[in-house]
Amino acid sequence: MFISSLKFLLRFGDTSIFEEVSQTNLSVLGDNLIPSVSTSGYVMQNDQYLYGDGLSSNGYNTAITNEYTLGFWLYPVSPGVAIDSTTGNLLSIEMPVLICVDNSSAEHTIIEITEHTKTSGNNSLRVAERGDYLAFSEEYESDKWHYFWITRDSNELKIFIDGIEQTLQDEEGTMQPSVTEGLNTFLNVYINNSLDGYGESVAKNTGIIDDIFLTNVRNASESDMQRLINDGIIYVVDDIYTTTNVIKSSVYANDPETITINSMINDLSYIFVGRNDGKIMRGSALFWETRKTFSNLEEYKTGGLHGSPNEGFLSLNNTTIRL
Amino acid sequence: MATLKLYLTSLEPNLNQAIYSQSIGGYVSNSLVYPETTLLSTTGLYDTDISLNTPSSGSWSEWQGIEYINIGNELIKIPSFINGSIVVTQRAYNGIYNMHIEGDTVRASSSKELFNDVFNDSYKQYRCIAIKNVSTNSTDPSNEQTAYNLSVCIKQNSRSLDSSIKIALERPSSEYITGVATSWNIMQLIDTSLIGVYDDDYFKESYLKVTSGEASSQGKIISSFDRGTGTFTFYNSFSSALDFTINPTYEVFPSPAQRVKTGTVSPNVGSLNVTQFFTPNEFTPLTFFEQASVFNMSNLAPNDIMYVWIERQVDKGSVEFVNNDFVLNYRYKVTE
Repeated sequence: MFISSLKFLLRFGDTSIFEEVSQTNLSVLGDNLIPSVSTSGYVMQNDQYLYGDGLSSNGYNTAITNEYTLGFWLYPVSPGVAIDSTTGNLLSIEMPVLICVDNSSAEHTIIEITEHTKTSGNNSLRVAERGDYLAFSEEYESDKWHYFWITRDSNELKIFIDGIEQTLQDEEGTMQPSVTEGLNTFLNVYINNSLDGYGESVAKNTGIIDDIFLTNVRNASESDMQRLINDGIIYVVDDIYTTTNVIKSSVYANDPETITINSMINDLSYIFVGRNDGKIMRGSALFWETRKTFSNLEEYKTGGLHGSPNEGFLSLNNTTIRL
Repeated sequence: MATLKLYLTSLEPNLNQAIYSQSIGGYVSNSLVYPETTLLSTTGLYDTDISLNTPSSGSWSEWQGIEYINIGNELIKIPSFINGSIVVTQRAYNGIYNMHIEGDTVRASSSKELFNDVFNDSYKQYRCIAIKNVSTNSTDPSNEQTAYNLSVCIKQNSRSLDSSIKIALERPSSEYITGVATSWNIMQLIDTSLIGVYDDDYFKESYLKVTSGEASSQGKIISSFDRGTGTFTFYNSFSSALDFTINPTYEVFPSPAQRVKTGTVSPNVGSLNVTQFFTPNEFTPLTFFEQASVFNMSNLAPNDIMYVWIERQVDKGSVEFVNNDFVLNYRYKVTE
């Protein structure tokens, strides 16, 4: 069962575009009505965007006022920068990610998330809120999965990327205590759509987005971010998993890269080497295979002899005798 | 919240286990599978500067020569280790990027440890490690210390096509208890409060340690337990010089796992207390179902133990033998 503060959850778990809190599907709009969705997420496409307005088209019942937490995985791409047709200056390209608007015909923008390209080849995420407040994240590399975690209370916005709090860049405007002041808190959601249209410095996003969630509380818990990033979103939003802890331990077991040998015989077919622990190995191109020929299971059993007439060698369990 | 740690196993109880290939069942040793410390500061998915706290031993001596560190599910290749400030050689050496936060457990790892190159005719080898609940009530008695519904899965199996691992769980047949002796002598300790509570020989082969008095920290292996009198009998005697008029407190650790002759011999699996070997993934983790006749060993109270057998198999004819790392996950609920 989901935590009570969860108001929107879009995991793209299969080919459907299913929002799990309202139990409704988002609509696919644009020229191409077949979304590209897999367990890796939703591939945002040029002329396509997603639109969700919740149960009975009444919007998602977020009850958001002063606080929210919004998170998603994003595999960003950078189409480079544009050139101002008038001045010739380089222009950052804006790409839509996600917009929350109120469920009214006026569609007031409550939260708008966009990406902006940089001349470095990196991108920066911009969070804009109702009331003309906006802030950018630090730059992050494109073509790598990143986790974005945005949270706010009545007087502070925080952006975390991959679990690290960002120093907000180029802040503008003043945060309003409530992002839904005077508006319906039932919200609609657009994914990869620019409500202001497109131009020379505004382009569609062609990255991949996954595991989008929205709560109506502020959460800046590093532990929760870690659980989400490492173990999965379900460990943060589902009561069944929020009390489950996971201890991880990896074991590295490559073969030693070097061995110590005391002697070596080359009979022109094989190379026989004596190891410092008394084992004898027959070398070949398939060195590993040969070593297992002389495995040690039989060490503690009484020896049995078998000959290898073609090779002129006799095996005595784990050792070899030259005939 | 319950804290679990991973230990090597040993032939005798209360020993340090320095030889990895001898971690083949028996008692839980005093040696962690890998040296541990904690992360000094939070590290994002792609950060390459990692800072570690000095180990509780106060020294990095155990860490010299390590090649990798393990944090979470991630194996990180590092250059020659000097101290707690590391510029890593390669994040996500095993292909898994994780985010790490301050205080996370960091383990030292190298290729010459848990497994070696000695296999049986089926190209298999076996090791047994113990999961122990090391939580204590000393810091916060009100805090929940039991790990509920423990399960184990293979988060990442070997990345080499020429090798794989399977795991089996073995649960002790007896649980951890503490008590106060009502009388004792060189070969026996009696606690009349246990009369009728546990079956005859329920604690056979378990390790009893005295926790107070002049024999404090001394322990013996139990050869038999008598339900009718609450008497533990030992294989070996305590010193006759002890004052047996003062009754000590004691603790009995969970019974040992089966111990195999060498690391190339399979343990007996598929019985009441030992599962078969499986390759459980995170969606189908391996656990014991609660059975009415057995105390629920899927729940680990402080000092309780679960043994994990690991079967490593390699294919014959592998030209190259790399990327044999794997990741085990131990999952538990922090509340019932």
